[in-house]
Amino acid sequence: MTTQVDAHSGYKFKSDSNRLGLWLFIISDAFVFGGLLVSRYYLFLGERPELNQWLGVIVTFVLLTSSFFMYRADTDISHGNVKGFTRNILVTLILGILFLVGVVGLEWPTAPFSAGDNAMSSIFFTMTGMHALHVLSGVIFLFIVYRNGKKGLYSKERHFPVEAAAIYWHFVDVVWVFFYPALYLMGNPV
Amino acid sequence: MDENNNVEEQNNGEYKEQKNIGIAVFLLLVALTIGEFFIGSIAADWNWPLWGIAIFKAVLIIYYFMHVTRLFGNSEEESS
Repeated sequence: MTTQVDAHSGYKFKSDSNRLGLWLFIISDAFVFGGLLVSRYYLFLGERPELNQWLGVIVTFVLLTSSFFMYRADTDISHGNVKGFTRNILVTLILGILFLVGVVGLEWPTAPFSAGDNAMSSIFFTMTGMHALHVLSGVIFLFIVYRNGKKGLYSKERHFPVEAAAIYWHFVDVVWVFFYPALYLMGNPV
Repeated sequence: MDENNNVEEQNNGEYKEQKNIGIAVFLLLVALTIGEFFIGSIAADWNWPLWGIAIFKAVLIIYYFMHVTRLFGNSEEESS
């Protein structure tokens, strides 16, 4: 009896349960982005908005690089390297903010259309806006994890919040992996 | 004592290996993105290759960076 209670209150059991819950959330959230992607094809199949190609590819590289540093932060903490973890998570955080600046601060004001012009412009702002909102919540999540890491709350044995932040951050990157070609590369510019 | 040293060496080996995997996957993602960019620049109608690349990139991130296999009980680092 005691063994069974211990098995269900241990850190590993809790982490496994939390991980399952997180993935269920990720899958349900993926359907929201999937719906937006389908809308994009339904509304403008062989066309795409005329956008700044260089800005598109640069923000894509920024997000990919942030994912790489997030992976390193996750690997560092799971091997007890707290210093490496805080350094890498800080780089991820900065790159996430840079991505937001690139999309919301540069791409939006320079786009040759506004949100209410037509269906194509609406779906562009909805897709990038919804994604940017997820990046913003990811940045807040990363900041919390960074602060807690600095306080010494994570160790090699106990660091599920870091893993959760990493999974969420990589998910945001996966969404952009599909949004980038759908918005910037596929179809003829109009 | 020797046993402790062996465990430490094994951990260091795994640490380096995981870091190298991260670098390799990142470089592959960068190369695929460059390929995507050029395909999009020269042939905007080539949707299927672009979809193929996007799916491949997503699989790489989900498998290597998101550690999807941990869902199936391959959690290697945590202990109660």
